[in-house]
Amino acid sequence: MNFLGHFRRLWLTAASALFLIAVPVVPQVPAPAAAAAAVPAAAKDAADKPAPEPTASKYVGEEVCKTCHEEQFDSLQKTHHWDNHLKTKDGEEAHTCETCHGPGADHVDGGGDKSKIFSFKDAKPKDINERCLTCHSSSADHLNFSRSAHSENDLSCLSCHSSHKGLVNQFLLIQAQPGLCYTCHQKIKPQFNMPFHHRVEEGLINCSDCHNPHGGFIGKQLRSAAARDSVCYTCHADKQGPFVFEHLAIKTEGCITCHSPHGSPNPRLIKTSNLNILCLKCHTASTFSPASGTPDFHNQAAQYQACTICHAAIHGSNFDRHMLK
Amino acid sequence: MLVLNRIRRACQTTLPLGVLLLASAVSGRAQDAPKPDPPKADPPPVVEGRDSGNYNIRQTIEFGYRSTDISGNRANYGTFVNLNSGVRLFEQSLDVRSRNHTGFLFDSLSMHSFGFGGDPNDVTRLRISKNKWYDFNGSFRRDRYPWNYNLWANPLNPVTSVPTLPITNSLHSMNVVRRMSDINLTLAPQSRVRFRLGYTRNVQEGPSSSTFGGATILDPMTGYGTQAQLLQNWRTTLNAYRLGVDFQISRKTSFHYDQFLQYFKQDTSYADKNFKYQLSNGVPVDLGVVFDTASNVNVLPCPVPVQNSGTTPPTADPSCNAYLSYTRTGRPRGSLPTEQVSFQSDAIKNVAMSGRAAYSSGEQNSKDLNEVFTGSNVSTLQVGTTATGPSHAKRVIANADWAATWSITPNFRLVDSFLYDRFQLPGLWNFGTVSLYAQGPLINGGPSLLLPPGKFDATNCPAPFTADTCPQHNDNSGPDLTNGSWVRYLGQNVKSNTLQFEYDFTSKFGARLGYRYANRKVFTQDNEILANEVFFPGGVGAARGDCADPTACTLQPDGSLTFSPDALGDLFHARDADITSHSLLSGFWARPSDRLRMNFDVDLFWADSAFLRSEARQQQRYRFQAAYTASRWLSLDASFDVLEHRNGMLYVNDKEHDRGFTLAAVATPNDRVSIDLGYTYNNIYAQLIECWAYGSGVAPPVSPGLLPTGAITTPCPAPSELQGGDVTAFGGPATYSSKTNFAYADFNWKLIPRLTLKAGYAGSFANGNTLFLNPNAPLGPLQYKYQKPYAGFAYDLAKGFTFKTTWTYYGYNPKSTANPAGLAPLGNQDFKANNVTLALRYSF
Repeated sequence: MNFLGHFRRLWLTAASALFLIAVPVVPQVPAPAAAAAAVPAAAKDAADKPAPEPTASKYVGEEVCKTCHEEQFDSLQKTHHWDNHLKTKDGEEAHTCETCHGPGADHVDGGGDKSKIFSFKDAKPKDINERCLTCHSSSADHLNFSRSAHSENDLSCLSCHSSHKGLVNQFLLIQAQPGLCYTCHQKIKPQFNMPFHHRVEEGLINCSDCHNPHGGFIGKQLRSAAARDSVCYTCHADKQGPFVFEHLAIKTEGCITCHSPHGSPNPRLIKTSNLNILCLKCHTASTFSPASGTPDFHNQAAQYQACTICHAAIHGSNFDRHMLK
Repeated sequence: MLVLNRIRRACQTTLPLGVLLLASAVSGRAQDAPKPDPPKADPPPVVEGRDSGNYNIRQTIEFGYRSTDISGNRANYGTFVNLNSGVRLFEQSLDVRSRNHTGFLFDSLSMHSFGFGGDPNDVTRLRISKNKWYDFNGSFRRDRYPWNYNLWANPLNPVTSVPTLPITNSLHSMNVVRRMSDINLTLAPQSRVRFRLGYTRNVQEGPSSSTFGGATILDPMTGYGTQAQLLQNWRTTLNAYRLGVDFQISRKTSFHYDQFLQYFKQDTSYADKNFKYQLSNGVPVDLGVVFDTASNVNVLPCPVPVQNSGTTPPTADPSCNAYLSYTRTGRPRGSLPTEQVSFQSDAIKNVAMSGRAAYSSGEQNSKDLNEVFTGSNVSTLQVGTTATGPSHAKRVIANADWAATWSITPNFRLVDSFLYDRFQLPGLWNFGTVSLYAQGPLINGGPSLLLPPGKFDATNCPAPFTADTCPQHNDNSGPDLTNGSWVRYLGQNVKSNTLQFEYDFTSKFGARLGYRYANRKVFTQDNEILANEVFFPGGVGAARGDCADPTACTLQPDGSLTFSPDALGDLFHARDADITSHSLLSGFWARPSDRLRMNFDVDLFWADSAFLRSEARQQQRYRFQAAYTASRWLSLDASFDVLEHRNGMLYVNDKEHDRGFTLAAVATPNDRVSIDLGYTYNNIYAQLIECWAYGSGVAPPVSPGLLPTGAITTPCPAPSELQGGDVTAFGGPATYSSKTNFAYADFNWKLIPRLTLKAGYAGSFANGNTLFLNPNAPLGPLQYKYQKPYAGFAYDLAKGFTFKTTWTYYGYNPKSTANPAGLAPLGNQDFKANNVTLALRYSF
């Protein structure tokens, strides 16, 4: 298909998609103040029983917040979150500290009573997430956060991010990758320290290059290449095909049928030390498997060449059904 | 493509230039701004940077020298580590921030780099943003990849061969460079309609090696000579373009449209350059990489490969399996356009929904395959072949996901997610092959490399086709000419739905319970549609292969036989699978106190069938994690992750597990000291019945003398008819186990305000075993120690200047022997490397 053909299809699809999407969308556009008020409040003592939000008229403005919270105010100024303060639309509540913390008048009047304002420090993770997603859910990356493994296990956005000041400037992360991910995914660290490994500790690849920490529709929160192909093809593009002669297991089961993606004691990150043992797992004749058994001239008991010495195009071939070239 | 190339060239030319100009302009404004900047790896001091106009600017550069002393197997060091001596830019950072977020061209710019100057991984990441106008990020990554682990694709040549041929470099080594560029631009990032543009370029190129198995025609499959190492001049390029629009339809609903255009090209070529011998007439010859002259089963390349070792290079026996030349080119071109729509909506009260759908129709074409071989294949008498023909494969993909969370009460949620994924992949190769066969007289029943091919024409091969100048054929010889088509089809259709209930019993304890139903249908078909096969007479004659019964073929006036299949072609394989699986999902999280949190998940899976033998029909996964903050300065973590995998089908009996247990502790007793410790034990085990052919018509273990001592001679437990034909099979449970202990420690101590010490260690200790098909095979990566201790310090010389030095040791010690009994020497796998860096860090 040529370039123009691709774009013709682009607009046709876009138009169809717009039509389809328009159907389930219920246009409930709240006023900005109502939207802010709709964000659930939670305080330490009232985590199980959220208190009703004050009305929009009780916004005090950022300068009042600064009076007591100068350190947070200063550090926030250095982040992208400060961009909110520059907004000129949607009313004052949409662009001050109170955008996230809610109206502060009662909190001020109460002499700094924490129960009178949304305190992220004391809030339930799901309430924190809901606050953050008020703005961030519109990003394509965050579509599925509420159903992610991180959310399911009661992690909040603040488990990884600091809204006022991140040690890692980009994305306000509290720690750089991969160390941040290792704090929970401890089993993975040894894999990246094995002799054969993807270059994550070296800084070439980030965990988030392959995984979407905000969740997704695929298992293990994996990202995907175009057309939801395996994310591996993002770098290993030569394995994507399509090939005339596909190695079926790759397309139907995925790369992890043969490879350990993070690291392995074995070369090429394969799952066994001896390649032929790996091949024979499938290529032993059986009643149900599409994989053929080894023919009579493949005498494994007397010839020890690795299968890939001959089947060099093991990821797929255009010119040989046995993947010899 | 012309338009795309222009766009790409324009991007390549203008974007880096623009970024550099922008960065240099800002740097110029801040040239007198010496302020320290937090180091990346060490505890960072708070640095305010230097204000210049409306911008605050922080810069850091860390450069110096790395000295590396390597002993042992340098190829393995290159494969695992590849840090070598030289001047390096260890780190660079530039952070520019508009103080009031109203900069002229940008509000923030950050650029971070490391590795330049010769390290294997060079990375630059850049992000520039301007409030509501744009957000740009880009990266360039270069990965130099000298992969040479010689036990990979090693034929394990026996020491009994004369001569012996040790293989001390991997036959599939690579010395390629991968350059990956990514740029992403979001326009109007805070508006209700956002536009996203992206471009990715991934180029991989460089010399590498591959092997060729010697089968240069389609059939018969007995047509093997010897295996040769090829120079694989690697060159692949991926250009991917992304175009997206986000619509914030309402505060609670967003809609996204993405168009992905991906173009791939492969220009890798293959050639035999491994001519280490010559014929008596001085012509260079490659005898291949497998030397097993003493084999009772398959002698390679021939019983006495070297006729005269006194010449330079040695003179080869002309009756050997050998290559006089081999080249292959073919330039596949692929495209993968994909349209995707996605949405997220909380518009319905208490219901949060998201979904996506994508359609793609990728294809790959190769129009100019050209494979040429000259040499000798003793088993088929082939002395030359060519293969040509265009190929075309297409992949049509449609997939969709939808998920919704219904918050029935504030503490009780119902989550449902549905997945649909379908692809169809038809492929076609229209091929043509020409085979040249030996001229007589044959030597020991095989071709002579000193003679030209036999010619089938009236002058050289008149009836009755018995002249030596005729092409000589034997029973293994295939057709002389073929042209036809291979047609392949693969399709898969997956549907899955997961329903899950989540309940927060209290703010300290929640649980979930769910069920997943999935159905997968796979269909594959493999046809060969031969338009024509031509069998020339000569040797055993034209009645062979598909024309073994001459009445099935047409006798031509010149004496050849032609074969044409029926119109439907030959169906080789058609398989389908219909697999239904069920999963029970459950888990809980708990925070009994502010100091302790725990998570536990259980997934139980079972399926009514499997597509592959190694695919699970029953699977259980248990995951637990606990984090305990013992005090303000000490936190403890523990976790386990256990995966049990079974496929108990007859003659499979697959049992696998992957069990991991981890303990970790982080202690920061004061601001000056931090200690990070951890230990992980991982146990991987796999066992299933594997069978492999022994040989045609030889019943094991009737002729034990044919096998090396220790070879496995137990019959395959599966019925012999499963192996097909007259193949006799050995086999039994094939096991693989790997137990790994991993420990690490990192220690940082700010001894005095100017001096910070650091030390640490990471070590992997593997102990495993496997079934050895070759009783002489080395342990290889089954048992090893891989250790990386390090130590260093950073000393603040003056304001902004820090001297840093680090010593790192890399030690790889497998238990594999360098000279396994019965094999040609493989060489030591061990290496030790001392790596010292001396660096000056300047923050300003």
